[in-house]
Amino acid sequence: MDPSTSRPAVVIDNGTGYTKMGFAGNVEPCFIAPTVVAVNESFITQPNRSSSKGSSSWLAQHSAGVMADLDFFIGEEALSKSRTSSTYNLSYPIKHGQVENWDAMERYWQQCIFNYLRCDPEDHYFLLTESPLTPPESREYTGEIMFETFNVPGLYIAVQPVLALAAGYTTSKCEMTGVVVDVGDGSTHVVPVAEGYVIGSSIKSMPISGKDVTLFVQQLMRERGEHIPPEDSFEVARKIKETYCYTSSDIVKEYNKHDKEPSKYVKQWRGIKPKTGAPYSCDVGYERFLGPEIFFNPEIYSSEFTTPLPDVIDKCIQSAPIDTRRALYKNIVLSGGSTMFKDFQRRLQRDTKKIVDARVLASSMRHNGEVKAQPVEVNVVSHPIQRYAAWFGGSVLASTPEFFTACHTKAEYEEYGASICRTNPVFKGMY
Amino acid sequence: MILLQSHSRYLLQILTNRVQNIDKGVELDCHWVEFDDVRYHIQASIKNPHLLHLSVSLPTPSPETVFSSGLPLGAIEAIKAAYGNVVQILDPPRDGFNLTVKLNLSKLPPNEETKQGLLVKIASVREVVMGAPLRVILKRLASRSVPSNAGMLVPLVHRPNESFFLVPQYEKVTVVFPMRFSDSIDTVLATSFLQEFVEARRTAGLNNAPLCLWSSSHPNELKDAPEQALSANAGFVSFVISPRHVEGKKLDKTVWNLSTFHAYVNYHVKCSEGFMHTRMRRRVESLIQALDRAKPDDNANIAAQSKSFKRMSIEASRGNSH
Repeated sequence: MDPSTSRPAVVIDNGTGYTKMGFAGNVEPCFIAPTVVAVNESFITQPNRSSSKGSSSWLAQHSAGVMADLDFFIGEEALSKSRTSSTYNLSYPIKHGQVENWDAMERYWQQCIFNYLRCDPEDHYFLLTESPLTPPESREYTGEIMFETFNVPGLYIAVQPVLALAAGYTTSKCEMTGVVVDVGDGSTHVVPVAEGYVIGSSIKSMPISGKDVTLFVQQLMRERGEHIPPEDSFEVARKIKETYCYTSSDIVKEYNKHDKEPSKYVKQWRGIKPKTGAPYSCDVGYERFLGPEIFFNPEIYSSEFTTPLPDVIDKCIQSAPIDTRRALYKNIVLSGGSTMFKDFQRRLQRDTKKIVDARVLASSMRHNGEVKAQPVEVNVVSHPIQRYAAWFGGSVLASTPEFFTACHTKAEYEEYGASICRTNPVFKGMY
Repeated sequence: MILLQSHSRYLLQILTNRVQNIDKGVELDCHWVEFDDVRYHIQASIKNPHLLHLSVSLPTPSPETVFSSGLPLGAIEAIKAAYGNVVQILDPPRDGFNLTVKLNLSKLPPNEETKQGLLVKIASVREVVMGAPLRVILKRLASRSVPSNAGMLVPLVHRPNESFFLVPQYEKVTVVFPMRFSDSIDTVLATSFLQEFVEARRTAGLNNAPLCLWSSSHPNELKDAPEQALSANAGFVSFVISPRHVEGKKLDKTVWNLSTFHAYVNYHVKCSEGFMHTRMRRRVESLIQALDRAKPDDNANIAAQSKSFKRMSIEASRGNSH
């Protein structure tokens, strides 16, 4: 037997904002780190003088050129390095859920494996994730990097929403049919999944994501004239979003509540100016509920996209095959860090239910009440591990024995080439 | 990152989190695997938030290495010396593990700095346990006491079913690593990496570094070694450690670097493969740019030319053939 199947598989979920990494079989990822690489680019621009001077400048060349490819940082370290030194440039390898910069991505994985998880990639099977809209070519690239650079014995590239569904199935029942509402930092997708297969033609996207909430909070605070140092305002807005934002049931009522009892609802944010070190404080008011509101009333944020999230979900289900719709309405699963706002689930359920009920009512009116329609059950599921649901699903799936048979192995890669990574089988453990 | 750190990043993160949030002690049950097949398992319950059970499993030793009750020689003494009363060894260890210890966080020193130092030390439990026999030998070298087994070959485990060899002498200790890689490309890269490594030792700045040699066949020191230890597809590396390399604080670093030398080479082989991929991608990009430049961009001209021909539809061509 292959000894690597006896070790837990490595599960890495690369998101636009954060990367979740860990070992299969655990409840939570070992590390959640921002997906960012700080690269020292200075050596690339230096002229290559290895040929002219020979061995005398060996050490200089050694430290300037050869070692510089190891001179980079990822995650929190990268952010702090770029803040303190100007020689490092930040590069975000993933944009809108798609890998854009493969050099940076390869380095990111290298550090994930050797510095963070500290495992030998030859010893473990790997489960990586991708967004449902990833082109097969990008999967091939991923396979190439994993098999050629890291010599992994086996690789499975899973679709994030499917994993998010799998995360829920241990707690309740083994159901692999549902709609996954994945609101990440960089992209929002509504993905219908039937029996473990993604219904590709019905995937709906929304150009509003967690980052837009941050930008909106930042904009509101700036317009009100809060004194936040401009170089820090995005970070502060992000932290305010993560700590204070919640979903309201009705904006007008919420405004009234805030106006009546400001002491209860208005929060204080305290920070230290990065340049001078002087402390400052600012008020956090309406943006607490206005931030997440852009998912339900996008017109307050952007004039181009004005379809609220519940409408997008409804359209998505309506475009799915008719025999799956009831099951899809019944299991709407939230995933991604930006669904963590308080009461987000309740609001989403209420609004979606409203749309569905209106449609049922209209159709029974058309039939003059002759045909009695069965009520449609709408259920938005939320669970505590929502923030890294995709990772957790991966951890669950990769600890089933079927996982190892569904993987593409190194031998297969060597036999057929990178094209085997274009598709990944849906395996038994999924439902 | 050039050298591997001696502490496990994840274990340190768990311990620091635990110490900071000792009041909200949550259930904890994690397992993970590090390079060279060192497995960890940590467990804590809500009932006793300051008690942690940490189990470590070591790589399977090869037949020539000596283990006493599942642990390398001197490991238990090393644990006691390093951690004092914070750590208590449980006997027998948990099923499938070589060592289980009980960490009592309430016995940590109150001083922030020494506390953090001790946590890092606990997180590098692997160095303490696996490096114990090596440390004993190197310590003797530092104190220049005559080793009882002078000139004898001492095998020590560092990877599953693989060991490296020590020849302790009065003035020096020779360490020999048989280097094995499973992948053919890795083997080639590792061989040239090691040759460069030996070359690098000769430069002026590194005069004080340990003497380092590489050979494709096994060196003279290994003539008494068992047959299976002598098959190495990436050659043999030997270091000569003299007393100045193990003085005082250098000892810990030397022990760690020697006992993870294979992982170090493996890491750099993977890094150089990644670096080569970066170069290859850049090359492809520049070639594509060259191709793009070579494309004739006067589309208008072509269109004008094609107009001079009479377009023939399928219908027309059929009509012609009849």
